[in-house]
Amino acid sequence: MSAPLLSVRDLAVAFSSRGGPVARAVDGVDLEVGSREVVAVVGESGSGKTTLARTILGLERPAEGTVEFDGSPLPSTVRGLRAYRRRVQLVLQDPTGSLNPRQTVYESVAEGIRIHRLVMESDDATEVDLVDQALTRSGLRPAERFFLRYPHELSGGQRQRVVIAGALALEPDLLIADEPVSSLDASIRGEILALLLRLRDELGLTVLVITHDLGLAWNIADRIAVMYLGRLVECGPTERVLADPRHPYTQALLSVVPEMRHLEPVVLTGEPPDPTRIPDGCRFHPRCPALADGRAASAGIDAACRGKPLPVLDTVDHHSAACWLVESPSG
Amino acid sequence: MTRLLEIEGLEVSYRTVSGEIPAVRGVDLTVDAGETVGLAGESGCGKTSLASTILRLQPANATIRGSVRVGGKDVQTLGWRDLRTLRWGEAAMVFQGALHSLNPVQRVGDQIAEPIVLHDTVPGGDVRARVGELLEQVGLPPERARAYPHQLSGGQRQRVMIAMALACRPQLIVADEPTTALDVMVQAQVLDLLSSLVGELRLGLLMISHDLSVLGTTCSRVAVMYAGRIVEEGPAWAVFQDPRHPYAGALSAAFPRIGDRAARYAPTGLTGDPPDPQLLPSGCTFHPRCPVALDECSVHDPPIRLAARGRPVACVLVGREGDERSAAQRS
Amino acid sequence: MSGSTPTQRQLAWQRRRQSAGRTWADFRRHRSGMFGLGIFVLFCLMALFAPLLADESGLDVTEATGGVLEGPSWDYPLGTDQNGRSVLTVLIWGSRVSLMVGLLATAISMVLGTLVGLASGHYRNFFGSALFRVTEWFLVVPFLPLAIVLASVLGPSLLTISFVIGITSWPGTALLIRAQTMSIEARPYLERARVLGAGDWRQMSRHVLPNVMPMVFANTTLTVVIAILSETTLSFLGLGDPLRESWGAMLDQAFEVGAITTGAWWFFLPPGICVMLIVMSFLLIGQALEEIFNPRLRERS
Repeated sequence: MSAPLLSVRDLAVAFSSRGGPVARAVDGVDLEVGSREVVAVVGESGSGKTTLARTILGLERPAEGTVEFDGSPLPSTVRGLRAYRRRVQLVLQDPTGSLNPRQTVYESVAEGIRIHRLVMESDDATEVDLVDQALTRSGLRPAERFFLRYPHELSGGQRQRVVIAGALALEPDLLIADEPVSSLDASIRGEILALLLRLRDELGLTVLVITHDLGLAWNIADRIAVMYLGRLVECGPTERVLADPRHPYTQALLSVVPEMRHLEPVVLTGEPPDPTRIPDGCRFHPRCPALADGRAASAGIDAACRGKPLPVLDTVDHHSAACWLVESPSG
Repeated sequence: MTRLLEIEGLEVSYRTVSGEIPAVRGVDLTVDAGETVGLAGESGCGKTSLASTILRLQPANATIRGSVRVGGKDVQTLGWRDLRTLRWGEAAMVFQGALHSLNPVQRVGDQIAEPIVLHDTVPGGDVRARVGELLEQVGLPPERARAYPHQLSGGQRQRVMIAMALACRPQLIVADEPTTALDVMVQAQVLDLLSSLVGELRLGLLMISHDLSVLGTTCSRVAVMYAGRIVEEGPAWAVFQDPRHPYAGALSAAFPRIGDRAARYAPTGLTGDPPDPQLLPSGCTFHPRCPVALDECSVHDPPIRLAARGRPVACVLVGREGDERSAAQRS
Repeated sequence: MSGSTPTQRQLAWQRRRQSAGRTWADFRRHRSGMFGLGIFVLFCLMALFAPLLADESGLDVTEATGGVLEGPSWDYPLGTDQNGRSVLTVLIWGSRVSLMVGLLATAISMVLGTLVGLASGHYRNFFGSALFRVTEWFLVVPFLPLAIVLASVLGPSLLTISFVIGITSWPGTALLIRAQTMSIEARPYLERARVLGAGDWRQMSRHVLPNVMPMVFANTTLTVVIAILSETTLSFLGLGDPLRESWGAMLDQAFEVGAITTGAWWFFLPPGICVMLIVMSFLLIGQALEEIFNPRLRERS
């Protein structure tokens, strides 16, 4: 396999409130994303998936570990970060809040072009051309019709397309989409997801999707990584992981998806836990159904579940799960 | 079988400076005790307008035609005193967006107690005990009554909203998007809670959501709403698995079945946006976005045909070359 | 192929003019706001056309021809002051001072307050907190002692007064703008701007400032009120320019010559009423602006 586009190693990101306990939002993550791949990071709130995304974008500083993009580490200087922004872009969850209500669509999309002076770089394209191209690529046709509209005059789906156009205008290599469709109506989700796939096919874009929706991952992701309390617990090709989940957390998540009627729903009790108080041993063990119903005990590993911390999950290529119950990752 | 809610021929329109805007254009709906009925629809379809009439909470500029009966009484013509008794005492609502529906500077216990005190349902008795009882009923420890809303998680806030709705022992509960914005595990917990409450207390539950997969698995019957009218109705799982109306089909397809290989890399959605109630398309209001629209769909109102017993569908294609049409839909 | 960039910019300007036109149309519907605006315009005209309305020589004490503190008559519609000058003449010319000082002081205050507020809200480092502390310091400095000290040091003049008032009223604005800046910076579109690569300057000027402007406008009208009242107070206390008459100075002189006890109402009532009217006009305008800007935001959400 060729060198990955994005390579995250042993990443840890911590937040400390004044005088309070430290919250390790990301606590040891290895992840690789290859060029033209669509990878979904799936987790619930508190899992650290958004923090992971923000750190990859350079909006948060890692406490430990490295992020490497196209072979070079994440820049730390202002100028370096600005150049980095040309290559890695973000689409946020709430399209309404993501657009400045006082800017027209044209201005919102031109923002990135102006900041990075892209017009000077190209020989014959004007700013209008670049904005037109970005809007057209994100499916708003004819682009001119949208130039002078304000965000409140657009529908939710159109707003999300404007946000995507703004990111595309920089012609990035990697697009990170944080819950790209969760605040959109159900019937228009498909369009936006189809757009992301088309961008991968036509522009060679690599996409990292952050979501809590397993169905979304099934729809568009090549690989899926399941995150719990700051760590990846399972990773692998989407079809393998969702057809045959190994980790009890993934199994539980899958079982409660409403349309999976044929699976016995395992509704985990309690709340998603607190990143300031990470349990000993396997961090999932207080809620783990396999521990609760005795499967772990009968396999003789329940002491390990409670006391022995698991290594950071190795996520290259194969289907792996961070669980003492799982014998070994399949090749 | 007590009929808790009976809506007949309901029409709701709003008087504005730009004219009369129709939000609900003729809807029939019933909910019996012990039944969970789903109302599926996206933004702009009129579901919130419909829900607001059940407790006569519609805005002042709304014109109502048709009847809304709760427990046999016509809500729209009730006297003020009887309306006050009905509100929360016979029917209650769980509102959308728990974070914004709770008073941020009041403890949740006091907010739950408020309707109890106003309705004097615990005459001279221990309101605090009743609040504790309600919290336990929704799966929260009674001590949580002293918490403020921001100290609770999303799932816990939603439970508080449910406890508030149950405060005065109503028979009918209307839940407006109860699980939107919740993680899938928390969603499962809340849905489980609602089902057990319906069973235990013999409530009637009207669940409104745009997530047809949730409605399909938790309701006995579901009605799909578009542009102010019901376009399909029937047993919930059947409507979800085998929708007959193209719009219901699109809603259903928005939540791909994990494991279905046909859904891999094939996100399906509708083009365009929900119609503007002021500019409703002619004929079948869905025809501009319908993947299988015929010429006559833009001219004539769709007839209500029975796809099967108890399966009315407002589509001209029902009963006509059934296989051909559903094949076209799934492609 | 669409037109060149300038054409698009022209269209964007046109769009802005359109929305300004809409704001004006909304404002026109507010009777109270229009009333306030009307009064303000009247006073502006009075100040601008003072030379046409009343002969400047009427201000010269040595040329005064009227009797001392005479009541209103055909020659002197508002009577005379203790020097025999026509009160009406002094009133008309006084509007210039009051308005000028009021508006100049407001300009100083708003510019300073907005800049400091934006910067202290945006920069979360030492610079930002330093600015915040400076704001707080100025906030607690008592207005009158500072005004007296500055007036005696700098010499009493219109510029001094404007400066003094500006210096002491900007912290209120700064705090308000700072709070609003911090709230706007928490919004997703600021995050998006950062992700796109926008630097501090761009974030503040293109994203925060335009969204803070409605609050700046509403606050400006309040500041004008404070400025005019402050000028009146300072002049009343004798700290104003002794060579220029303002309404406050008129009140000061009325007080000194005992116009209240002698019942020379034509001397102290007109300036007092003028101050009241202009203050009211700004408050009405401010109220109307607030109502206009708020529903717009509601409509957008």
